[in-house]
Amino acid sequence: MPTEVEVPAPMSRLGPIRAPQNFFAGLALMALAAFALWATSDLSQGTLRAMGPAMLPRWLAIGVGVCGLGLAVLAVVSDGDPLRLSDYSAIVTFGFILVVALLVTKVVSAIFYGGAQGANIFFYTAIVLIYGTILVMFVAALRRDAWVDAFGLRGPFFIVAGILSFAITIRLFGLMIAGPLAMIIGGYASSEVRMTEIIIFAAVMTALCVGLFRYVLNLPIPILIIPGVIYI
Amino acid sequence: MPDIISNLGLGFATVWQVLWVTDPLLGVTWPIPVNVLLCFIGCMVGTLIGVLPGVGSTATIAMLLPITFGLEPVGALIMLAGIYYGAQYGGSTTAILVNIPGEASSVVTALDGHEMARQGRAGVALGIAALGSFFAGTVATLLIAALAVPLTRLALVFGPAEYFSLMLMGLVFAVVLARGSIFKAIIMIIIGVLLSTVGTDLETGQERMTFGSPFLADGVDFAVLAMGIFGIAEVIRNLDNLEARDVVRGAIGRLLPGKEDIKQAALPVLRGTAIGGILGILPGNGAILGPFAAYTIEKKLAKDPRRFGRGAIEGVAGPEAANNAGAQTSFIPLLTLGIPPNAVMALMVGAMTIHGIIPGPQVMTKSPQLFWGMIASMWVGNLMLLVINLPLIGLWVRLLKVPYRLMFPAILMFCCIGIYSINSLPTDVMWIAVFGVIGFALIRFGFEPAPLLLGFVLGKLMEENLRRALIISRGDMMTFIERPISAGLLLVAVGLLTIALLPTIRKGREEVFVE
Repeated sequence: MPTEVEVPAPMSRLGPIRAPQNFFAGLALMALAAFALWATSDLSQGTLRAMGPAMLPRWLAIGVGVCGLGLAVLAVVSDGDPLRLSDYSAIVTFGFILVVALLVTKVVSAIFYGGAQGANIFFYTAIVLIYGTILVMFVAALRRDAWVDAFGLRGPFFIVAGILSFAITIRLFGLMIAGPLAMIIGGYASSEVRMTEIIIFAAVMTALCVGLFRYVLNLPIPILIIPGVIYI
Repeated sequence: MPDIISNLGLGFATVWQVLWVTDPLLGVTWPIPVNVLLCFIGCMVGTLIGVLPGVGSTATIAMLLPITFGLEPVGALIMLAGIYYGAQYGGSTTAILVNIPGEASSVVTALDGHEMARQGRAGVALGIAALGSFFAGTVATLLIAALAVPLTRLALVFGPAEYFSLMLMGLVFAVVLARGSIFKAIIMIIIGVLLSTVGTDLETGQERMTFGSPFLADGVDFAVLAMGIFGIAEVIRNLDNLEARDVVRGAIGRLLPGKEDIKQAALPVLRGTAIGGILGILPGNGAILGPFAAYTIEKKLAKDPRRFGRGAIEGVAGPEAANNAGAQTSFIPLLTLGIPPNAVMALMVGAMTIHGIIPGPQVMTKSPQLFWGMIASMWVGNLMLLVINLPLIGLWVRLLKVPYRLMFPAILMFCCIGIYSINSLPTDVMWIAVFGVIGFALIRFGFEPAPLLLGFVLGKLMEENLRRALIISRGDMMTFIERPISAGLLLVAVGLLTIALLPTIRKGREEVFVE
């Protein structure tokens, strides 16, 4: 049954903060600066006469941090653009997935691998979370639930999942599988998608791309791989 | 003067270079003008992608960059330049026919161009845009040829300190001319420079902020960054404003403007060419200002300013000429000084570096064929746009009617294939998704991504020159002020920034971009 979801009205202020968009942007910049400072903390700064590797990044990071602080302070004093939460839900969700994946990595890697395998665990956790999200949305889209479009997650998540699918399958199965997969999954980013249409269109475009990239431009891109059977 | 002619002669010879290819079927040997063919293909695909609503020329070039990687450097750059003009022209076509300007520089064209289209004069608007652009392109090509040698000589006098100051000035220009908040543009540039410091430090060989990742060891890959932040982020953003398109229905009308139209448009084209050409040379994104300035001036000069916004042909002719002239003269800082003035030129730097050419004054002396070939190809490209686009208008109109729900998955796959084909690395493909989300977040928080890309490209050069200058001066920061040229450049930068921040000018600046 389709459910009605109301899109909340844009907020022009958030408590004492008069420009919420800029305020959060400022916070994000300060976080970025802190991250960059931490990342360069093991490098030497050198002197002006013989600059070390950390000199410029460190000062730039400080610059970013100061600007972020300025932006956040200004946001308290002066008015700015209103903020609509659904515009940011995707960004927040991606951030959430990032944090969860980092936590899982820390825990699993410490318990099972003695601190090793970090990159792989992180990667697989993030993949599972992203595909899980789009699976839920896909089912909801098939049932025509209204919340899929109202939440603002649909566009960014299906696009990202489409790209990821391409990246995962291109080496395993080749372009004839990866191309349509990217187009069909990506196609669901739009609420106007029609299943048969996108499948036919994806097939045609993939055929064209195979011709163009492999045979006209001569790029070394695998066309079709069925492990143990075929490799074009 | 004779120098210019012989140089351009060399350029045209390069462009018309013929490759004898034997046909395997008939056994006949055909002459194939490879570079002209590449220029043609570039213009075609550039227009093809550039015509898509919401895809600006930066995004177009970012997407098409990979298809040029397999070519010879000369051919690749000629093709890329073709893509650029094609994308620019495609943007104008969209602005006139659909009223969705692909990017800032064709915003003004949409005002009167689309109005003309509604009155059934779409053909004339497109025709005058093409003719005006061609004229502007011709003048700009000559201007580049004339300025290339003296400016290159000037560049050879420059030491590291001057280069650093020049780039700083370029960044200040870019900040001042960017759309939206000056403060946010500054932040974007600093982040761009910060991003450029990721990777192995050239002087000490130590890894900076790489976290042991092989992807980051050589620094953030330029093509991946550009494709993600422009291509993918644009796709995600455009998903929100779906199908509010207003493609002109009905006849396009005749294409060639009549005598009366030409008479009305002649002077605006001349003025537009002059304005656009001069502004385009500025380091920093001067080209973007050209169409706005041209439109304002035409409106001020017109006997009846009320006609503007209601389908005045001057409102199309002037800005379009300025747009094209600026698009071309912005090659000057890149080709002579090696400094990209805007995001598109930053992409050109990326492409040149991948082909092993380091942009700068030495390109002209070391590979004159490439240098002059590229300049000559600009003119050839403009001619081609005129020849191929006017008859193909019908095709573009049909393309504009393809719904976005089908267009964007195709763009998505194209980006994936393109980025994969560069290094054959699936991780590169994943990173465009990451940068796509980052670019999307930037747009959502009100930051323009273009200054970031510029900062990223200039960042490496700036750090190198800063370090070198400080080694020469033994760590004395005063060297930037003591050397006269450097001091002058810094003074201009500081002056410009101060002026831009003055309340009255700030208001005026906002008005220019609002209109």
